[in-house]
Amino acid sequence: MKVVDIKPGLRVNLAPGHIKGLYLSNPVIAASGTFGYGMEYAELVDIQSLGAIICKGTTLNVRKGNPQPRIVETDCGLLNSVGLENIGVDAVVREKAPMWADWRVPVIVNVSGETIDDYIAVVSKLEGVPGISGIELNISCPNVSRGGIEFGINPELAAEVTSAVKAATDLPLMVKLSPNVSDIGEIAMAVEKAGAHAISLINTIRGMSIDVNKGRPSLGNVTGGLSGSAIRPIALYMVYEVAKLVHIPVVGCGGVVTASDALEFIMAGATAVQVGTANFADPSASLVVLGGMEDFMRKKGIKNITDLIGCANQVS
Amino acid sequence: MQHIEKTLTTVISNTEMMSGAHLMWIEDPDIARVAHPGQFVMVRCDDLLLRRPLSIHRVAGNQIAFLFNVVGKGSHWLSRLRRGDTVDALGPLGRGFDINSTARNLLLLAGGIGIAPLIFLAERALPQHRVVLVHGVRMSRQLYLQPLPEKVEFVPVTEDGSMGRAGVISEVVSEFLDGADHLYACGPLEMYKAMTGMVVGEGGANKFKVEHCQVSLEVRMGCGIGACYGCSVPTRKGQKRVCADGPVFDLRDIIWEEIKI
Repeated sequence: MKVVDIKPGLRVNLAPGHIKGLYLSNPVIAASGTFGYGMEYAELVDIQSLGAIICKGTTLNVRKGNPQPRIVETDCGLLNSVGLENIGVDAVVREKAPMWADWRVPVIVNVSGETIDDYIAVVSKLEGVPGISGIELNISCPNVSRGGIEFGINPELAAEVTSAVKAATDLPLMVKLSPNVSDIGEIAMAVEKAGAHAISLINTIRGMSIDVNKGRPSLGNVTGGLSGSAIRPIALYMVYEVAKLVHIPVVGCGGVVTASDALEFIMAGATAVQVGTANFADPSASLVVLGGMEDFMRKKGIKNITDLIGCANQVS
Repeated sequence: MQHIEKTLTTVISNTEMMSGAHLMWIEDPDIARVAHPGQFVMVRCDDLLLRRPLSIHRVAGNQIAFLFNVVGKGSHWLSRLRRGDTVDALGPLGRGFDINSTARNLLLLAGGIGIAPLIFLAERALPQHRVVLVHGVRMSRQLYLQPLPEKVEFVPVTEDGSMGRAGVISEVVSEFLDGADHLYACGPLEMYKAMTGMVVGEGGANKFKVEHCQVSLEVRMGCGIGACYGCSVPTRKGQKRVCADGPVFDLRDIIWEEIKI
């Protein structure tokens, strides 16, 4: 008997509520802040095989970010306080987007701001620019003093910024949520109602570390955001909860290192996953995750990744 | 853009060379072929989440050497590797030292383990240049006492006076500055801060007529390839990523008073 090796179906749509949709060839996305503007990794890995790339958090003006040190390794995790250093939206449009326009892999721009007007101004400048496939609204950065997370911890403000941005752009809109809240479901439902096409979660969890030899905080900014394997069970739980409540795609993010980690998120209800901190240890981490997911599906005879989405949610 | 390789390499040797510092040679033809003094390699250490940046200490044939202090989890793991073990290396990375062909007299200032990239620089610069290498350490057993290229003029400086000149580099350096066209340094932040006071005079005038002063910075890095902005520092030309825009910078470009590491 001839065994026919059928490539499992990996295509997903992150924005079914959008007129054009946001189709990815597979559900593995490089997370914002860990993958630069994409080309930094181009020489090391086949970035065109990724599901999507989400670029560095982008603000209206150039930002210098926080003082050194910005990074400290913790047990199974990483604390960072980069503080949204970035080149500003004008440079993204001028220098990065033309390059992205030639790529097969879709690039989503992560957008941050201090005020609603900031967010609107940034997305307005991205509107109609070739090479930009969608917006990830960052209302969850723990490392800036104003804006960012303030919008992500209050359901009314989260809804307000989401609808304001939705009105200002025709691009697919994903909203990235903060885990630093008491009720993640409430925020998720608020941004869904406000018109988000998708929700990504989680951003980093606020934390800190102290250098006992120096007797002072390890990070220049005192506190930072925790990422890496340490936060995966928290992220997974939040994805599980949110996926039960909303009817738009959920993108899981937080400590994905292996294919098994990614599959956990998919089975908890995520349509796709983001790989972040793992890129530092292994620049090809995202593609290793993708390859492992395909192997798993072949082994289990699963024809389409969409058959797995939320399968662990249906048990009860 | 330069070519970066991520390869599994083999350890050739790994020995404690100075007090608390290891010298490790690995077989890596790809990096050895293109490496330039001042560049570094991100090395994966066991299952630690972040790779560790190690500057390239020497290159010989297909092999490259690292010289590193054993201070934390990553360097402890590296120090235990033996001949034949495998190392996951990503490099060469960053922009190294610029060896100006018109300069004649190079002064290399090494603070402690900062000697590591300066030996590679001395080897590459020697055919055309006169090289004076000042190595400042706390005590004599931290001095670099390996055979040096023949023509390098080596000046040991110890804080406890146990060998060579007594004191710290910034105290003895002035007597060597006069003959130098180019200054290259690798050491702790305090050393650089002291150097800015000496080399750059009032109003930015150059007191010692050294044309260029290049220093190699060390900060914690996430990716090593310019993607995460974890290692950015303020410079007079805007924020710069140590891993991709450096690690070598002009001493006068860095805004030292804003950097605490």
